[in-house]
Amino acid sequence: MRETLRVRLGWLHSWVGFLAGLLLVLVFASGTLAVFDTEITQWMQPEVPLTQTTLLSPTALQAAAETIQTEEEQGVSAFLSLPSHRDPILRVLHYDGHEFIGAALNSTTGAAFPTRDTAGGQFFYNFHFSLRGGTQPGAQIVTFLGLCLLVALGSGIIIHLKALWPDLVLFRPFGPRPRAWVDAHLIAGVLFLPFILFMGYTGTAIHARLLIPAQSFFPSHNTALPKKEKAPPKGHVLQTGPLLPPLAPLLAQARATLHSPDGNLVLFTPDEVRIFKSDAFGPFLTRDHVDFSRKDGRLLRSVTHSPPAAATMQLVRGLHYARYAPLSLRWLYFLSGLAATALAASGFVVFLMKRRRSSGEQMFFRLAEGLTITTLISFPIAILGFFWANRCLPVALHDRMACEITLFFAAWALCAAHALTLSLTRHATSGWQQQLGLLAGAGCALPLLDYLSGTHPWSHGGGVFITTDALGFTTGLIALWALLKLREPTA
Amino acid sequence: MRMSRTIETGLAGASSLHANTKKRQKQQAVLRRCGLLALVCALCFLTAHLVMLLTRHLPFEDVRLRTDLGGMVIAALLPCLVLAGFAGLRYRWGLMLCLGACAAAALTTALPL
Repeated sequence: MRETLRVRLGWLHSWVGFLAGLLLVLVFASGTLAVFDTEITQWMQPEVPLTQTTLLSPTALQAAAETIQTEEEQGVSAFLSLPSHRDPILRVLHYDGHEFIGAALNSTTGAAFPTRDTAGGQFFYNFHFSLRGGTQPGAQIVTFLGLCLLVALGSGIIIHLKALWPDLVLFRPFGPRPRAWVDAHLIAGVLFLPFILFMGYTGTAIHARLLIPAQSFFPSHNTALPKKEKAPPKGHVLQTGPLLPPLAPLLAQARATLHSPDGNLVLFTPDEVRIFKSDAFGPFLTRDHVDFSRKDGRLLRSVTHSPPAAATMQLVRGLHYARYAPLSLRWLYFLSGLAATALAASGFVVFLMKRRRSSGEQMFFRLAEGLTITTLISFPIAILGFFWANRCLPVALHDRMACEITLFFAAWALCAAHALTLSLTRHATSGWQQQLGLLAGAGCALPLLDYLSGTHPWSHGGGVFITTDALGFTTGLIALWALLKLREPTA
Repeated sequence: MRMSRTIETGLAGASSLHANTKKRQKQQAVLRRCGLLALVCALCFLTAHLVMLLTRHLPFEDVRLRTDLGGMVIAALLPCLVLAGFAGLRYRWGLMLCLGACAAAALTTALPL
């Protein structure tokens, strides 16, 4: 066979795309859900009413300050997330090594809502950038996968460069099966190429320093590293600061300086109180802040200007995290994320179809098919299992959050074992069908489960619940349709 | 003694031999591609590492900003280099390009600014 550019890059695209794609599809799916992380948290904490205003009373701030002080005495570094239009709740949060979790307070009275212990949407956010493996090796693996995604995208563009325009408009869903899947792969890839390329690039750039640190691997390098000061682990404090000053006047002053009327973050160090500009203010994730003395509340400094280099990075972060995005743009991010997931999924199907005739009997092929089922079907089942666990586990259960997460991974592991067993014993079709049936059942029954749980009124602030349930139901319907297509005699 | 038609005619034997040769050639081609890809990736990661070391000379006080900017360069450079290194077949220009980039980064890191 002649080694042309298309042949070589086709090989690179297939193998890098498939091997990296097995994990990348998890990153895409969890990232797509993380676009609505706050809303998922609201769904998972139905005890918190969403009908509150963004107004904050001094009483509520004082109650939050007392909670902060108590948590610091326990060695936990907590901060405040002030109410915003998207999340009208006063939250006292801390980092537990994976998620930002904590109490939700009434923004008028300061009373804590009796919420269930859950990781909420933060779970998907954490899974998206680290696969829940922490900075090392989780975020490093995801960054490496980002580089693989860029290589696969680049090779894909070169392969299809000549047919880029026809690929944009050509879709033959009723044509021969391989052709239809290739068309689906191409149309998703070409239509959403700018988004996928941009998110792949920004995601990789944001965490590249974790994969390739700015420290020499060679010990003889002449630059000695400065000695690090003793720092507490993330989310913890070494010493408790003095009693907090009244926060209301500081907040008013900071908001006037930052021109940020709501949704600010308030961080506390042993010496300072730092009030940050809301992330929702614009696409630049500026982290502008005003600092006050913790002892007497006097203004120390304000940081409101960034050099162009810093502003570039702020824009990269802001556009990737999409915290500035209004609801409509957030939906566009969500749909584009779904398209990226569909691109990877259709790529897997094409990869398997191409090799089924020549290598269908080989062990590696069967392993590849089992792994494909594990990522494409078992992972969504585990996600729905996470939502089911949230409604089914008792509210007062000890270490409830850990139980929810354990159930997610247990469901995924069981489904993976099922898929791999059936695939390796030459019953992959049964594996696809059984898991699609389970996914259809779990998705379609989610609204019913939510209704029967009776955890929240539907009349006020029900939009979050209705939308989440509807998305779960739609997932179930799509799985049911796929199952029926698989059962057709011609399939 | 049972003789198969394959041996009698000799036609299928030749076809099987041809198939084996083709399979071996294909395996060799895949091995060559894997070797080249590994070499190109190693060169590109070394280049990226050297670029990251160079960010220490950037005129910004904030260390994180420097490494972030390095990250932006690496995220753009590394995939392009891998693709060029793997795709550039004629006279191995792709590999030469990777070597050149790596050497340039090494020289810039080693030489005093």
